[in-house]
Amino acid sequence: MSRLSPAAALAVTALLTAAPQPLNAQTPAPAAHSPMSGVLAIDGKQVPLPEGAWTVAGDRTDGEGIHHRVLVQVQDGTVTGAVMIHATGKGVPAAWGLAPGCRRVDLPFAQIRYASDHDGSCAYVTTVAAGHEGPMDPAWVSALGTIGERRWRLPEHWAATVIRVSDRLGAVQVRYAFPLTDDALLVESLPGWTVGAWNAVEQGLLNRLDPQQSLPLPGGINAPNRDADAGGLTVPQAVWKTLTFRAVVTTLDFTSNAIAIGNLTTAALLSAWNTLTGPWVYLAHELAWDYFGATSTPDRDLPGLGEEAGILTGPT
Amino acid sequence: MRSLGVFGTVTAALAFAAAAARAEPVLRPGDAVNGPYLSIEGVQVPLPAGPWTMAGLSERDELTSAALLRVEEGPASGAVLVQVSSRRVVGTWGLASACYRDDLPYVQTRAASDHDGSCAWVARVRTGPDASSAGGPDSVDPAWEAARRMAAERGWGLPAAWTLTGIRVSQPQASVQVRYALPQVPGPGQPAALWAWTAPTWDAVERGLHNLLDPAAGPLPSPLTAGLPLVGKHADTDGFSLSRAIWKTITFRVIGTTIDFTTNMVATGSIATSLALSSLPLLIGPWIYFGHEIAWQYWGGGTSHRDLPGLGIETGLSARAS
Repeated sequence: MSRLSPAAALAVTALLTAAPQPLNAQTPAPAAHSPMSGVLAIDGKQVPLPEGAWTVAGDRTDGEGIHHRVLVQVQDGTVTGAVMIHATGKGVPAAWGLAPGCRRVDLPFAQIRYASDHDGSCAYVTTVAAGHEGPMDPAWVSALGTIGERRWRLPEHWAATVIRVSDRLGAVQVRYAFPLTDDALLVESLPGWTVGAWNAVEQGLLNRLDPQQSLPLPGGINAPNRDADAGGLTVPQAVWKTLTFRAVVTTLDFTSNAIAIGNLTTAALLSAWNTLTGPWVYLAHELAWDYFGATSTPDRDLPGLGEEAGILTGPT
Repeated sequence: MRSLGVFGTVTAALAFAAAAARAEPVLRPGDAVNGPYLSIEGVQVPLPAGPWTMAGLSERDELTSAALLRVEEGPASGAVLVQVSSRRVVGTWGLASACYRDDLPYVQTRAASDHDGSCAWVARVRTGPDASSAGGPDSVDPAWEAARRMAAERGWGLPAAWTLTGIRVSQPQASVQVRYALPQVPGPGQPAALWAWTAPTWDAVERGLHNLLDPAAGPLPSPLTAGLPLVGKHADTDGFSLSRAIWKTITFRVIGTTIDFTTNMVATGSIATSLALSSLPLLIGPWIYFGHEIAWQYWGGGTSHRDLPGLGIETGLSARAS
């Protein structure tokens, strides 16, 4: 279960609870390349942005009506952050499933909050060697062109949080990427930061964000490191179901044996084999259905900044 | 099964409760409700043409409810009861209990899982002090009780019997349930017309949960004057994944019988004896497994299936109208 430390929770709460501003689900998108901050409105959804000014560097809509947009943050000629957004168009039903990265077991953080055949919410933290390897989003390719034209310096390695939230009315996936340094605080705090950003992205899908408020930057939050949780497997429930099923079946088994044979000892011995082996068969069957049968919507991959790796390593 | 950290939950809830709450117009009992929708707890709720008056308001820890009455001349000609999850708490309600009933004229479920749900129903309800006492205090929402008191104070007549459509849309981040009620007209025609009106209204409620309603758009059409074509009865009360339970029963039985038969063969060396020994589990086992699976889906699915009281006890068409 994901937890945010009390200090982190208070920090995020204080920064997000600001002077009252009117909520407006119809906040118009600013012109391309003009700096923006706070919350980005895109296709009937809100996407929270980290603190500071962000500039649109790439913007495309594909043939399926999916909007791809890349924003970058630049300080002293160096790109210090990137946000990549994928959003379904208004009225376009989403059938994205979960982000494939949410099912990986080699990442420092990967969690699925919920998933079904019509919605899902998951997030993961990864590293990216940006720009040269692996599949890249067309909007990111366009952004690289913009970055090159303006002669901005681009980090070669990123730490990224990827959040995907979908329901029957739409879907949004957000990649927040920050330069991967040897700053242990950034590496350790990013999973904790992800929880707060994840909550905000979920609220943004329902247009419940204050348009003027930003997410805090990672590194400003001291959160404990997280163990990877691949999610998707309801192990505790499967175990409980095994126990209750075994209790019912063994009772019936023993009773029918006792009635047929008339000897309690013999009946118990006959039931013993099933009692020893049956629970493992049931549990394996239950886990297989949880894993392979969890959703009928295939997980659709949406390319990002480059190939996403599991191990957080510093720049070479 | 959904898992949400406590601090993550509190973070989201506190962060948006204060800012968003102050951004919505503050309505008090007696205020006129203008516009095509009601904004409440960060959710938009579409309304039919008014004029509407906020007649009752109730805020509990996890729930805010509001009752609106439409009064022009004479008795009230419409009522809307809105129940919205509080932004202070995150958690899904599951499906409305009415969506599992098979005695109502119209029931439909669009989506259901262990963490969300969207369903609607049509029912008849009797209100008034005698109905409240018959159903107990839990059968009537406090906001509706307050609305009844306001109506009595202001001399507004309230029908003793209503026909209503109920719509619930529930997600982990927010949930809303709306009851649109009309003075009851005997016969099956009114429920049918109301059900025809429900589908587009249901779409609007779902969009309202996402704050996608256009403030410049008009109100919902009147249920009885929209001229919408009648649709057939929808009687899908299946909130369970019945097909999944059946398939699991089949696959488990195949595995169980195979192991059972093999074990018996090893022990007895006789095919006939092994078949005889395996036949009883083969006949009885699937029913036990299936019943166990359904019981876990209903009681152990992780969704609270929260029931929310309304205007009174809701019944099907067979209940007599006075």
